[in-house]
Amino acid sequence: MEISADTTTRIVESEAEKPKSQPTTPFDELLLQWCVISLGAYLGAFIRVGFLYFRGGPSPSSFTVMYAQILGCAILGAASEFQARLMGGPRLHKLLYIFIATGLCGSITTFSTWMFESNKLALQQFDSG
Amino acid sequence: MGFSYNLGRVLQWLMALWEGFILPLAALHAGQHASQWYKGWRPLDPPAPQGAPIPSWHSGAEWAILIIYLACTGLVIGLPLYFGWDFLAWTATLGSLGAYLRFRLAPYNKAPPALPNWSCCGPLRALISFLDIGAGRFPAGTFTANSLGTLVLAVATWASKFRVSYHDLPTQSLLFGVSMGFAGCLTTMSTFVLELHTLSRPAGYFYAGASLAISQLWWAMVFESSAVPLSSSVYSTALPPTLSPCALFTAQCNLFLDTLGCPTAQGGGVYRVVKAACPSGGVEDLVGYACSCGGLDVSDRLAGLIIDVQVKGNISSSLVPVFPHPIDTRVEGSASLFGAGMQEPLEAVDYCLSFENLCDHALTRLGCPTDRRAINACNRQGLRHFTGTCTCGAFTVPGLGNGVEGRIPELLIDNLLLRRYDFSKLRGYPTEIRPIDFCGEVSNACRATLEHWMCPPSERSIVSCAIPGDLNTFIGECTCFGRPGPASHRVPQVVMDSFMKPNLFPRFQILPASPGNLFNATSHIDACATLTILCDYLLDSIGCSPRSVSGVYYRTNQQCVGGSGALPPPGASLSPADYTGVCSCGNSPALNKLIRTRLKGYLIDSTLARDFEPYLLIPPPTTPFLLMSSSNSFKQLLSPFYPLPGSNL
Repeated sequence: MEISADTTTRIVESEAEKPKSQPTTPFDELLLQWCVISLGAYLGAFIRVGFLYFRGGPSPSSFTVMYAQILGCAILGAASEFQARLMGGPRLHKLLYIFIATGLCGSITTFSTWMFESNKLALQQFDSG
Repeated sequence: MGFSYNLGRVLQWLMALWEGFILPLAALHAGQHASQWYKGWRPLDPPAPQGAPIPSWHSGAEWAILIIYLACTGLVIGLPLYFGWDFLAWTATLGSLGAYLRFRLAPYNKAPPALPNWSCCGPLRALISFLDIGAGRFPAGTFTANSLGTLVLAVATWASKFRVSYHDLPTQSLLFGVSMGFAGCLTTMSTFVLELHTLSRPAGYFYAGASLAISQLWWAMVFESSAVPLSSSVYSTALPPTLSPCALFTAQCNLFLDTLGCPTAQGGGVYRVVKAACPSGGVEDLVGYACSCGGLDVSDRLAGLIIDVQVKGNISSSLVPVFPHPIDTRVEGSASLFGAGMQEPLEAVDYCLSFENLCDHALTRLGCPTDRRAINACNRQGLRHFTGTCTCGAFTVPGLGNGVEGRIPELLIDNLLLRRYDFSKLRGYPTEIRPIDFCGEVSNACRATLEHWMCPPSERSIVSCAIPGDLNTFIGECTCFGRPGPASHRVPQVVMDSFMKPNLFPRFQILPASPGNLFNATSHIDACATLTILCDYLLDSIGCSPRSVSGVYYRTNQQCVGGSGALPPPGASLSPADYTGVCSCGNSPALNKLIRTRLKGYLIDSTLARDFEPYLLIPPPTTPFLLMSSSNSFKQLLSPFYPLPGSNL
């Protein structure tokens, strides 16, 4: 009984010592960045795909992606005003900014689809009907 | 590819690029201004000093981030898969990959990548120093992400349209994920406009111009380059043509007119007109053709037959992405021809892609050079934008398939509807005629066709007769998105075929279909008498009132001048030069035009179509003419017209 109790306390002590020697969290920086960027990308991509199904509006035939562009750019415009403070701040603030700017806004907006839709106008017969 | 460039289109393109800049840039400014309100209301905490210890509560928040990430990943993969939307699962997973790749490319906006000291990288190093990335004048990371993502989207779009069958839904879902997920998240507009906002003006102009130019270049390279021919892989076994279409047209026309007994000249006037002008022998130079005898002009129909010869034999074997099943004459259980079997799930086809595939195939078979082809089904924008362009140089005749009344769109409709005939209901002509509800059958067949093309139900317009069952009010409208399409023109014809063709060939088979007797028309048929019989049968079958003028519909049947409309006595012959081709029922112009066009087709089909198979043996057999496994498959294809032993006809 006593012997086993001693070993248990010894293990607990050794585990408790570890955080003291390593004040950082056990998670790698890259893992956390991956997590927040993925979360932003899930949300952003679903918003953008959702806009694909959003019919109506001023010019549905030319730019299905334009609503998403405007939304993402407006959010990034607001977020960019806080960029210096957040990126210079503590770790969680950096992750917050990466989540909003890189993950969310970057995924809501897209450059490629815009290029595609512009190209469609030039190289193919454009039919507004 | 037959895309024409004009000023209007170029202006629209520039306008689209301009709008694409202006609106996001304005949105960015709006967001920046909106944030001022938040700043004034509640200032943020001052930034932490450098080297400050991280508070311990952060570890809990980071655990929370990880747990939320895992939970959301499970949701965005599991929920779509549960509902069968695997394209959303691909979008989410590949999207996170693209976004993270963009994040890892971001450092190169400020600092050039460290290149190994190899001799290969001299030009690249020169480019980096020219762009002056280190000075922050060219965000190379965002540039790389945007141009790379655009290339990925171009390749994925091209693959999904031209390389992957529409039926291959798992692969199409993956390609959607690559397009909207990976490429969509890898590229970014928000960072792009933010950089344009902060860069100096010369640097910004250069950066934006370079991004747009290279992206537009990708699209041009992938889609417009002749190095990537349209749908060439579908017909990897495409063979060079073995005879000239002009010679084929001339031979078929002469055979047909011989069979009719058309005189070559009579009293100084030439009745027989056979013309097919191909100055260089190729179909791209076929500037005009004609095949007529007196008033009986069968030019377009004969051109259509030439397409049939080239294409129909391949339908069951090689056009797998277009025609997923070989044509079979399924016998349905209901009294309605096209009503039966409509409840069973129809396989859906991408009509536009099928059109382009079939057109490309037909042009290959006809020997059209690649650079002379103009193929454009729907402007790559779906059925709403159907134009149906399928031409080869000057060869823009309806027989080939240009516009809604061409042969290619007709064959695509046949591919669906021919399977739906119920031939067992139709035996017994002429002793037993069972009139059908023509209006109803056209509606049924139209509904099946539009379902087959994945036309949204809300966009369908099906009006066969304004008053149901009243042939006088026949309109024959069968459109999707309200645009004129091939279905209005072809679907009523196929309904007519369904009861005409099974009876045609047994009755009018005159030439023995043996290889030794191909073009030696020994027997003649009387065109006027034949057309008179056909007209009567057709009008009886669609429910037009019987032979005399009685009942609701005024009915005329006078195929040739001097013809009484009754059956001529055996041996009596009228000259085809006197052809008038009057066969009408009631006063619907659409219906009467349909009847008149169709009757000529039946006359040709009954004479020529059964000769397809031996005709195909004429070219030198060094290369097989059609992509058939055996000579019997073409017979099976034509089995509705060509009763095989053991069939129920």
